[in-house]
Amino acid sequence: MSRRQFVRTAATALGAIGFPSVMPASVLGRGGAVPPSERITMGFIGVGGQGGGHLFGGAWTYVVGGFAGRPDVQVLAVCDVRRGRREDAVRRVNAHDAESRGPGSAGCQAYVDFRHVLDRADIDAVLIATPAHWHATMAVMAAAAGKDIYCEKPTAVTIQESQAVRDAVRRHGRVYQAGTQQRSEYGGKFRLACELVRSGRIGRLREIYCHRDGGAIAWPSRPAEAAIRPVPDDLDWELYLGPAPWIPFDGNAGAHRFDVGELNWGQHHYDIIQWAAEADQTGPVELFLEDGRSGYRYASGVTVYGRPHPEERVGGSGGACFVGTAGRIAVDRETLISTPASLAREPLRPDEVHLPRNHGHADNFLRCVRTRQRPICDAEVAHRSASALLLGGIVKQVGRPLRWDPLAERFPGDDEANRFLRLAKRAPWRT
Amino acid sequence: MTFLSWVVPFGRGAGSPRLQGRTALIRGVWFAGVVGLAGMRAAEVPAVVWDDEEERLLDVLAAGGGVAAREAACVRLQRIGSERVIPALAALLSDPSLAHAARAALESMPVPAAGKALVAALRTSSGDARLGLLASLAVRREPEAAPLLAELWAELKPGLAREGGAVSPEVVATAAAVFQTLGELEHPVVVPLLEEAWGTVPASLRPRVADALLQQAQRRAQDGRKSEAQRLFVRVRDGATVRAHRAAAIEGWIRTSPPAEALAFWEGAIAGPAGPELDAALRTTAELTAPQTGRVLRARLPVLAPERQVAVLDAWLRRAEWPDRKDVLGLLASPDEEVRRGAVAALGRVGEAGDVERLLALAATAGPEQKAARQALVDLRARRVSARLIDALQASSAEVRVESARALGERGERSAARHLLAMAEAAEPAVRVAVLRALSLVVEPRQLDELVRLAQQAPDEGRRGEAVRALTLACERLQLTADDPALRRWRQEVMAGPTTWRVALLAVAGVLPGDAAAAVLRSALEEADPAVRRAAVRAAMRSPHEGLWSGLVKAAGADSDEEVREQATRAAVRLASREGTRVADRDRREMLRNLARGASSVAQKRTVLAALAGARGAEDLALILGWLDERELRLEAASAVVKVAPRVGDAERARQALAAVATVEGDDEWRRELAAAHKAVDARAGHVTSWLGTGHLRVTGRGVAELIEAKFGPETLSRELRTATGRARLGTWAPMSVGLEARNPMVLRSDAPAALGVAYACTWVQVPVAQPAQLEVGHEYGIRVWVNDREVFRANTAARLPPRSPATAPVELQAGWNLVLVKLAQPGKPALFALKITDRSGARIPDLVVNPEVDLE
Repeated sequence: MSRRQFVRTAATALGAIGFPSVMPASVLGRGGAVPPSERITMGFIGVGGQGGGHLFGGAWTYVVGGFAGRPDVQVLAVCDVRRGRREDAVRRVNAHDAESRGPGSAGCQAYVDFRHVLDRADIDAVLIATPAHWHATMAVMAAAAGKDIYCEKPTAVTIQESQAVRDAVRRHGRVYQAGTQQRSEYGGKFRLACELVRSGRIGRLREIYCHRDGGAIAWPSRPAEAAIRPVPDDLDWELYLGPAPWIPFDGNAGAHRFDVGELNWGQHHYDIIQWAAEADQTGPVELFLEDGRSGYRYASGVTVYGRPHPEERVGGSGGACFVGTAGRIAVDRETLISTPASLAREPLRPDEVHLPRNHGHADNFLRCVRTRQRPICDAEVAHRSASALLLGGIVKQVGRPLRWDPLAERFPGDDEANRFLRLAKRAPWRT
Repeated sequence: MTFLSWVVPFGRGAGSPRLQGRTALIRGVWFAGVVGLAGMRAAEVPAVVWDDEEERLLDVLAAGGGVAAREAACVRLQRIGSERVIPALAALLSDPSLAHAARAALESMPVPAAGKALVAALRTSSGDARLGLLASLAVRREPEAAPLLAELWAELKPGLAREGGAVSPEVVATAAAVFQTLGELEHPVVVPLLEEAWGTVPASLRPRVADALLQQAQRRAQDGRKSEAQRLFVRVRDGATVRAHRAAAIEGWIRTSPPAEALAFWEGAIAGPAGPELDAALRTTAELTAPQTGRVLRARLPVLAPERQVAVLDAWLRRAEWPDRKDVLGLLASPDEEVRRGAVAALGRVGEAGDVERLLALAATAGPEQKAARQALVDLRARRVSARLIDALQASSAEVRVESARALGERGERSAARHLLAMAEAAEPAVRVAVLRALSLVVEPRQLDELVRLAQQAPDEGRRGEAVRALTLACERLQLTADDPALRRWRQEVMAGPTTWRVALLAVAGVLPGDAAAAVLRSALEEADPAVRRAAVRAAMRSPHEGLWSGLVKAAGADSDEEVREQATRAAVRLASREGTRVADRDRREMLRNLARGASSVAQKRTVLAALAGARGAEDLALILGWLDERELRLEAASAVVKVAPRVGDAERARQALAAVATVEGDDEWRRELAAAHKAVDARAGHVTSWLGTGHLRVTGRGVAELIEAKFGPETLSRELRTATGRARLGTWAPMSVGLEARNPMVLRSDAPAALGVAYACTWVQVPVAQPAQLEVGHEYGIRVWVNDREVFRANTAARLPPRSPATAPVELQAGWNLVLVKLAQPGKPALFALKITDRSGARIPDLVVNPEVDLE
């Protein structure tokens, strides 16, 4: 019996034994509200800046009002290694639920250990917004626990992790949405840019300029004795580190302390590049370095440079500049611009490429949770976008051109480079 | 030799023909970053020869020194270790403090011997070390581990048999890890073992076994061993307790079944009760390949429960062949809103011109299908759809006319432009607004004069505004510059037309690139008529032209009209503060100071305060403090002080500023912010944070190692740095930005495109008497430091900031002013460094004064 079925059955049984006859309209689904049995129940793992934005919305976030404000979602759990954050989040969720759904509906609980969230059979889906080194481990465990997953970028910090996420989601039949919302948001600018490129408006696509290049993860070395500090009472340092090698607390429990290069933002850019280059099921075949920045080539011959186009400023916030034989199109969250201007001036004709559209990235995820279809940035798409980013990180570490087999997902005959495909996790964590 | 002497990979770049120059540098920087060599004392790093590195690493492991050194050796061997290092690494697998590092190295090594070492260690391991080994064997997919795992499972079984009794958590965790690992391995013992366990393990472990069986089944399905896969899928389907596992097994079974069989199952499941069968059916709808699939979908869709209709319709549209229009039309009458919405959306994909009226009617009604109908009208791709929409512009219902105009606009139907222009003066406001909006999306450049005419002939200000908005949007869409021939009439009217027209048309200038637009706005800011000036500052609020600054600053301080002054203040602040501004930091500060000095109203001061809160200079702080006495601004000024003080280079002035705001009454949050600011200022005290910087000098074709050695002007002519004129001869020296992190206080931000290059920073420090002192240097990439022309520190490798264990160098300070010159070489990023001057014990030097702009002659 599913949770929703259970809630329905329980409500019927309670009614039969004389539950109070006055019930909020929302329980019965009137007044535009969604009855509890139809709400998707969610747990939020990581409620700092990004997770808090997803949960409650905010000026910078694209999730208006946050998941907590959606009538079709009930947040049952929040989890964070910092006490202040999780207590603040649970207080706000419960206050919101009490106010909007009635006093009896405030049932959110706070957890320090995400495994307790995954253990709850009444939770349908989790949103993971932790530091990047946790993303894949948590996603794989969530899939195994039968949860649907919305996970922030980067999808993973190594290629092996990214494969493990894809495989676990596929194996367990879960719905996975990567937090690369540019395919859904920003007024459809990115979609339109990809449609124009794929429709041949710029002629044959030859080059793509990406404002960010490759990224990787860096485990910390042990801090000097002088830098070691007592772990603050409100922080679970062990759970912050998780799969990272253990080090004493040195005052830095930041979201990006292990990031190297463009690990945090790069997947946004490469996700759009993959979309425009029709490479969602594949990846680069050659990688190279140019003035210290990574780049790559697809089998189609399209070259992707990890640097801005020399004459184009548009592209900095998540975008790219696509150069073809007949012109170029640059896009980011604020602007879509073409050279010559006429390329983007004409609307898409019926016979041109039309890519899927939706009513928002979060909405697309929740809809797929209901219909069991694949979201726009599902695990396969996310794996390939993350790979494009992480391969850039590898070529920077190896320091020479590399060949990549996107089918076998190996560097053919290159043991040195293949060592960078994975990074051992501290026990007991694994993907 | 210290452990640090081998970790830098430059040696290989220098000695190997494979890696030279820049490539070696990049590799070095990234290796250093990725293995986390923070705190490396670069001064101790000699050149090394790559071929010796493995030997040296083995020496480090054998020496039995500190954990950190041996851990770092393991990290490096993870990348370069050959087969000969395996015994040394294997020996560390039983050392609790090094087991992880050794295992990580072995896990990555692409030789069978590494796997054998991990398998061997499994026999004697326990606890987390054993769990780690199991994870590594899984990642390596080490088949040789399988027999040993079978033995391990046999050992664990008795401990698990006491269901309900006390079972050791370690046994449960190990058994779970064993199953997870078995799921990854391809070996004859694996599947029989898992199948045996499937029937015997306690309930808590069944999900782990299910997961492993699913992995084995998936692998077989991918390899084409479908019957084997199916058998395993069936076992999980029939025995799993977790719904997701059963659904996954059924999904796998469907995918590996003959198409007709899969379709027959799907047909039963989609109509059956909720459960894993239904979940699996929903997920595989788009993948069914039997030729009869379309017929079955067509037959089933109308009789399914509403939520399943929505899901199946959604999936059907992802298939190669879509539903027929009549399949969709049947759902439009559904009593379920969600089904109707889905059907309307689907009609946008499979509908025809004859559906336009139906969709317009739905779009024109504020019902649940309105949004979907509007989108469907945009999506419809059949022939004659646009013609039907154009016809609908003459409909008797105003709502229908609105929707047809909206659809034509969003479809970008250029042929509709003349029809829309004919309706642009319609009496109904909603129709007019929709038509003008549509026109902005479809007009061509040659039709812009018509929009100008509409603005001119508008009977009132509101309608003139509507026309100008359409013109503005059209200009943005068409990416026109102000001097485009298509805007000739606009230029004429905005420069010389009647005031009413000019006021309205000026708004367009705000969105147009090109110098002509800036010229229009500059000229309008000087006009005698305040209405024109107001319109100009409103337009400037959107303008990208940084050249408008001086005019805006002037208007902010001196215009006779209060609205102009306030809007001009906002526009100037926006121009200077927006992301991607090309305005140099120094100019921006100067502008803010001028605005602050000229601000007369509280609103203006608030605007400037908000911008100053992002500043970092002591002078900015002084400006803010000046407003503390104004009652309306007191809290905001105090808040700005708290934000700015931690970024100000002069710690003493920052402390004084914080002391000045301590009396401001605020809530607990404010107190916390104040305390945090004090802490941040204290943390950076002692760092030299006032510098002049120049660069970066873009150099191509040379690596950091070369650049750090090559001499450029500032280091060959350091005497020039004594005076402002001398410095000017050595290039443009500007105050450097100060970083945000307390321990990373200096950030040189160059406006130049990122590229390999060199930058210099200089400052002067004064002490009353000659004394021994010490530099603490944090850096990235290449750095050299001179004090009074004597080189005191050099490194040409990476050390990540903030410096957890900064490098130190002794220096002798002379009485009076001492020149500190820093050279930075970096591969294409803003250069980061931190420098602290202390006494030899690391304590602050109390009388030390820093002034980068001192003029010594």
